[in-house]
Amino acid sequence: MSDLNTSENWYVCSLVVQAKPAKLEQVKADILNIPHAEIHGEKPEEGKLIVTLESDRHLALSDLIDEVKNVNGVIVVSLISNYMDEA
Amino acid sequence: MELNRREFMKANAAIAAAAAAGIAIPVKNVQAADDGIRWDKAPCRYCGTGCSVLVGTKDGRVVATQGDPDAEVNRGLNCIKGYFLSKIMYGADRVQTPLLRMKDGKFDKEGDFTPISWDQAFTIMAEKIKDILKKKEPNAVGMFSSGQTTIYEGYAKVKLWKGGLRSNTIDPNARHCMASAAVAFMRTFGMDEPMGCYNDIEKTDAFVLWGSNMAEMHPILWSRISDRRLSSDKVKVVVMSTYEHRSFELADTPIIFKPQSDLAILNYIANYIIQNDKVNWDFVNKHTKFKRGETNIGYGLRPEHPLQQGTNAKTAGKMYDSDFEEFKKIVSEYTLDKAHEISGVPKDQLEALAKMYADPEQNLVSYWTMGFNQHTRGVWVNHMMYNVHLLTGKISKPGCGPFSLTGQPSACGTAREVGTFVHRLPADMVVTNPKHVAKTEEIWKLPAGTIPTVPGFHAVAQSRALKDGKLNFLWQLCTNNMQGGPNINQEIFPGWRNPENFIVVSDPYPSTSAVAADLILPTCMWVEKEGGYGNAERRTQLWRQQVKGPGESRSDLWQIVEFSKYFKTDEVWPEELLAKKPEYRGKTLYEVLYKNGEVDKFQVPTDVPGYINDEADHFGFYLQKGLFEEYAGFGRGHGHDLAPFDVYHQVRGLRWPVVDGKETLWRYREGYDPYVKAGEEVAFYGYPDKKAIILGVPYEAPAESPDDEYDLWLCTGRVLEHWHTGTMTRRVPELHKAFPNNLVWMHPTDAKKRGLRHGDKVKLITRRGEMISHLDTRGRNKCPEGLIFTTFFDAGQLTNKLTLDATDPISFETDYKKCAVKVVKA
Repeated sequence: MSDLNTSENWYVCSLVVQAKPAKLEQVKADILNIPHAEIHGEKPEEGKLIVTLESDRHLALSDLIDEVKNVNGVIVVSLISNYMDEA
Repeated sequence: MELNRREFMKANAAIAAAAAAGIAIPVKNVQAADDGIRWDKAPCRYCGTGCSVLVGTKDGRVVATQGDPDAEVNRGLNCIKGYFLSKIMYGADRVQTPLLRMKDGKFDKEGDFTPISWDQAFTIMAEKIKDILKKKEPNAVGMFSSGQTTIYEGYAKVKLWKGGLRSNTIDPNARHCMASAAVAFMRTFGMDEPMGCYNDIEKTDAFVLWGSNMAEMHPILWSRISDRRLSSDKVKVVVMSTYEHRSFELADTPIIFKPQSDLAILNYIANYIIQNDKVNWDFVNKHTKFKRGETNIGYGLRPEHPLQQGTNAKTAGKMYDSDFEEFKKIVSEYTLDKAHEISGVPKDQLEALAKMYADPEQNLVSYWTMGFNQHTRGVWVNHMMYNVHLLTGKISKPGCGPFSLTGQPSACGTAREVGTFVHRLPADMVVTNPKHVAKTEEIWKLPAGTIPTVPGFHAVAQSRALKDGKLNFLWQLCTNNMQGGPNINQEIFPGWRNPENFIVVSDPYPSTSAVAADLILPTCMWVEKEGGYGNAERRTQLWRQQVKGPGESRSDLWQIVEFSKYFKTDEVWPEELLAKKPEYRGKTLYEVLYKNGEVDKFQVPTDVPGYINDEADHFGFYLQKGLFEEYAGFGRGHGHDLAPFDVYHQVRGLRWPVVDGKETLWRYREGYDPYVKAGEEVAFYGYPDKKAIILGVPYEAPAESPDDEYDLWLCTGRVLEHWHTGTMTRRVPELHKAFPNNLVWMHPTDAKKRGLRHGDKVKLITRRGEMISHLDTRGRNKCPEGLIFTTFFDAGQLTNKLTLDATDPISFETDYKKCAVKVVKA
């Protein structure tokens, strides 16, 4: 996992990820393999996860969202907050 | 930047997400910082769902967005398109000044785009229009607008076009996306728009998607459906499509059917309901009547087209009085065997589906979008959907109903409710009804006979009329028809470049349309102006301006209203009209239409911190409020009641009719809809007899089907990361990256047969044009054998050079979903 260059631009977003409850453990493992992805909470019975992603490039963060969306078992990815801190 | 502040922002983001999902997470002890961000609300500017977004601005720029936790529609969520809202206004190639094609200091159709002033732009536009009006009927002056236009803008446009220039040639791009739905609503219920609302999602036990990929196109509604589905095993989801897409992940019953066979499946379901004695007779007898539709109605092509010969195209919209016995006979042909044969759907699936609709105990909601509407029998298939809901009485009640979704944020609120179509006026009125025209002229304070009674050129007819030199001026705003319209090579581009015509495009970006025009006008978007949208569930939402547009950009609203100053009544109205209102002689259309004592009677609020309103600054009054209140006068007391303007700035939208401050969740149902009288139970009051129509119509074949040479079906649509023609989303580098270029999805067996492999460069060929793209045989869209799918967002791959401009003969909506194509290695 590459380290963030935190001296300049920084972007963060939070997601609610909903997956098939039966696949949740694998979905969690796959998400944690994505660089700078963190899981902050979950509701297993509804297949829901609270995820944040961060990046030093706006571009890269969107790729990360796409990776989450393409994890097998994910039904829907919703965006909640989206902040940028640009130098 | 210091870690603390970023930790704080990340924690805030996580907390907001947890709140939206109803999950408790430990709040980290991080230090708060004054980030200087100003927050205000706005509806998202992308699809028709109508999510509310909190928009954070700092130093005059949008720097953050967040799903609005107080919004009933999205409850703190946004879909991933929301990630790009903060960037759509900041593409490096925003148009900053009016640009006219010029050579040697003068307009020249073959000249280069040259910056000019707004005054120069409006002067040449007015000259062109006045010149045309001297020689031709006003319908030769056209406007092409949009389901993304704000309510105020749509209203100002209709007023200038129909009431000022006296042309009915104004149509929205919504013609391409939901005209079939709107027309079928009007024909079935005598009134447009859905009876139910999104609250059905939490109250129903079954969802049936017909030609709709909600997982990608309406992800927020999909998240609500997922919540409902995962809350109980008795809740079922049926997904029906001509190819497999992301929505299939949640489907209990995934159904792939052959293009056009939805007609046969729905008639089979109606037949099943009748044969199994599941008709809700009490409901049917009290609240419905039967009609039979015209048949063999053609494909909305040019009259000389071979497919139009020998058809009943001229009477396509006719509905004949009928009865249950005749309806029963029409649908009796559609047996399980026949439905299976036409659709290719396994019999057990068809029967299970019919049973769900027929079972009186089963609550059920049907959803559909472009798969139904972009259909040469789009009006019929909408009718057929209502047929099965009406036969069983599963309509207008919590948890039950047919629901037409929309793809644009104000297809309902502006295109339909304001009436920016060739035949429409506000509040479901039409130009062909003399009473409606008189009512409109009264509200607009215009002399009788101002509004013309002949509908103008609709969307596809505009392209044809430009090419044929019958329409000579077109102003396109807030859309991109040179990319989104059908059959570009043969029907659209030739008309735009026809030397007899003058084409104006208002756009924030140099879109495919803009660069094909004669004059480009730089336009403000979304929160660069004050606006209002109406979503698919009748929810009206207003927002305030939050930042300023770049350079010389102006809102469509400013453009329309300012342009009206360039016309005097004497220049565009005949003497007989002026004689009826002599006080209007010598007045500008601005004075007659906007500074008319109604629209100019309000001032902007003085108690809202940070309030900006560029239009009010320029014109000297609260233009948006004045337009809204005058417009609301059309619908109040007539089933389209809107709340007072200021109320919408306090709430997250309200669903009309709003009577005595209360919104309406289920229309036509006693106890929910204030227009239904005590004891009526249900009243479809759009018609004087309060009865909805059950229409008997057959299956008819598509306009073009695969044959030996063009041997595959071509279906076109969208993907989540891009939105329609991509003018806004393609500007956002992140989006671009996520989905860099258009692809063509194909079944691996079809690929193998053609010697093609995943990733190959391929050429798509139809009878109309060719396109180069790349093959995807593994991705999330999985086509059955015999069909390929592609999208139309990529300006580098103009998919609509391939599509056929066949339309529904009743709604004139284009069928983008089926034509014949061949694919070869490029």
